[in-house]
Amino acid sequence: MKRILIPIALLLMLSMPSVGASAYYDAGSQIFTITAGVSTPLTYTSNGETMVGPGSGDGQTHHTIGGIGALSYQIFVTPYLAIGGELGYQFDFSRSGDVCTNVPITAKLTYIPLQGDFEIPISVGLGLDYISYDSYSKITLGATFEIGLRYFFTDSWGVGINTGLLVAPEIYFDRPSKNSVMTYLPATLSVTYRH
Amino acid sequence: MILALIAALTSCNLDSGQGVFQMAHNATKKTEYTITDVYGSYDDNGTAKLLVSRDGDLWSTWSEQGDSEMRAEKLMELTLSTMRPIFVNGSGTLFYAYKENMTDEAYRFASVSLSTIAEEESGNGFDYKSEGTVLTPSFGENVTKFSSINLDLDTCQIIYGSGSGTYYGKIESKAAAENLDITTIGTVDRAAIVFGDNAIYSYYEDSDMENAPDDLIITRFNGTAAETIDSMSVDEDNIPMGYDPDGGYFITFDGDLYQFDSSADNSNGYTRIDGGFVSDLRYRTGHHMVLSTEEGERQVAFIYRNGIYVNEPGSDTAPRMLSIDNNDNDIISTTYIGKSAGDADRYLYATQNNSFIIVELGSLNEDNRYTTYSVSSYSPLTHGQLSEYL
Repeated sequence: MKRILIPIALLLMLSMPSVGASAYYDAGSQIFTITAGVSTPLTYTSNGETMVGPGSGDGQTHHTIGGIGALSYQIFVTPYLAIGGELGYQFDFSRSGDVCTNVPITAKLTYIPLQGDFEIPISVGLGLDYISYDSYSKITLGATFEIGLRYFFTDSWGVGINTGLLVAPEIYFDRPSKNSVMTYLPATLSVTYRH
Repeated sequence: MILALIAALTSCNLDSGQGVFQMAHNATKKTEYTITDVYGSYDDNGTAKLLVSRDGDLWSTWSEQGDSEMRAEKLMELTLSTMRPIFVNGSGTLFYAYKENMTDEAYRFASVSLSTIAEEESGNGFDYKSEGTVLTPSFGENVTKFSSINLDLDTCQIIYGSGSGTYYGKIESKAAAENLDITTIGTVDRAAIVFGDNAIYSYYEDSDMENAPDDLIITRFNGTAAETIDSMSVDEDNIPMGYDPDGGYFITFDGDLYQFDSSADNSNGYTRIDGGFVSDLRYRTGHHMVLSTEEGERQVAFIYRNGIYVNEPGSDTAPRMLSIDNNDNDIISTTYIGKSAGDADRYLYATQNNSFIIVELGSLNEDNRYTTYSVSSYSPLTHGQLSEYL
C-alpha cells in the first residue's frame, strides 16, 4: 500500500497549486541547509514489542535524549519542488552510558508550498543509515520526514525551526529475531542559504 | 523490491545474536561496584555475614534488624596482590591461595581468621605470605594449576593440577571446613572447566596437546571416573551454561543446550534440550545460573551478568532480556546466594550497586509466557534479614 501511496502523494504535490505567494524559486535554484538540535527517542520496536519514549524504565526505549544535525544540498526541479541529498548525524546514550549513533545518508525531496520571506518546507528522505553502538555497527535503511518554518532575513540567508521523524529499521533477512526499528523525533534549528 | 534489494546489499551480519539496536536497548547501567564472587557466609558474634569480592577486593556485607540497606566493610585490598581467596568457613576462617611472586609457578595455601585480617589491616597491613597458617591440602603440593568456583554458599568446586595430571573435586560444606580437604572426583584435561558432578567442560588446546584434536569434550562422573559422553569441534557456540540451583546442570555445546540430571542413573545422564535457540546465546559467554525450566516447553530462564533472560517456549528466537526494575540496578553477577526460607521459588543473587537482588519467578499464562517476573533489590527492611537466605 505504501508503495502506491508515495507516488500518488508525489504526483499530488507536483500538481498542487501553491497555497502561498507566487513562486520564489525557479528550476535550477539551489538551497543549502545546516540543521542542529535535539533528538528524542520515540519508539523502539523489536520482536513484536514497542517501547516508547526516552528513559531506562520498563516500556521505555532505554535511550536518552540526544543530539541531531544534518547538512543538505538541493536543486529545484520545479518552482515548488527540490531534490538533493542529506547527510545526517544523530547520537544518544544507552543505559550503559555508551553512545548510540545514526548516520543517515538520504535522497531528499522537499516541497515548499509557502515560499518567499517565510517558507514552510516539507521534506521526505530515503536512503541508507549507518548505525552503531559500542563496537557493533550496521548499514541499514533510513527514512526521514521533516516539516519546518523558516524566515529569510536577507534574500539569501534564512533561519528556521523544524521537527519530523527519523526512522531506522534494522533488518536482517537471515535472522528476523534481530530485526528492530528505532524512531526519533528531532527538534532542530536551521540555517539556510539559497541561490 | 528496490528496498528489499538495497537492504539485502547493505545487510552486514553482526557476529552476535542481537542487532545493534537490541544491543543498545539491552545494555545495562554501568555502576561503580561489581560483586564477582561470594566466598561464603560466616558468623561474626551472632551476625550472619557474607564475604564477597567487590571490584576485586575483599569485602564483608551484612544486615541488621531495622536496616534498610546492606552494610558493607572493606577488609582488604587485593587488586595488586597474588592472593586469591577460595572460601570462608562458618567461623570466619578464610582459605586462600597465593604465589610468592607473579612468576612463581607453584600455588601455596594458607588460612587466616577474618578478625586477624581486620586487626592487621588497621595497623601495618596483613601480609598474606607470612601471617597466614600454612596449609597442606589433601590434594598435595606442587600445585601448578588452581581454580575454584563457589557454586553456592555450601559448595566450592576446585580444579587443580599436580604432577602430570589435572583433577577436580569439591568441598561440600564450607561452613564445616577446617582445612582444604577436598573430595577428588575425577581427572580432566588441564584446560577443563567443571560445573557440578556431571557437566564437565574440557577444552583441548592445540598448543597444549600436540596430538589432541581441537575439541571440546563433555564428560560425566560415573562413580569411579570421568567418562566422555560427547565431543565436538570447538566453535563459538560451545559455551558452558552453568548450573541449576535445584540440582540440574546445563551446558551449551555445539549449538545445543544440554541438561544434566545430577540424580539420573542412566547410561549417559544428559539430555539435549534444544538445538536452535542456544546458538543465539553465543554472545553470552560465562557462567550462567538457570532459574527455571519448563519441561516439555523447552523454556529456560537464566541469569547472566547483565540481566535475566528467558527464551520463548518452543521458539528459536533469541532469548529476551527482561527488565528488572525502574532503578536500573539490574546488572547481576552470577553468584547464587540461596533460596529464602519457606519459599522455594525465591532466589537471592548478588548484583551491583545495591549488592543483592531477589528474583521471584512468575507463572505461565494462557499464551505460555511468564506473566510477571517480580524482581526487586534486596533490602533487609523489606525482605527480612540476610540470614533467611543463608
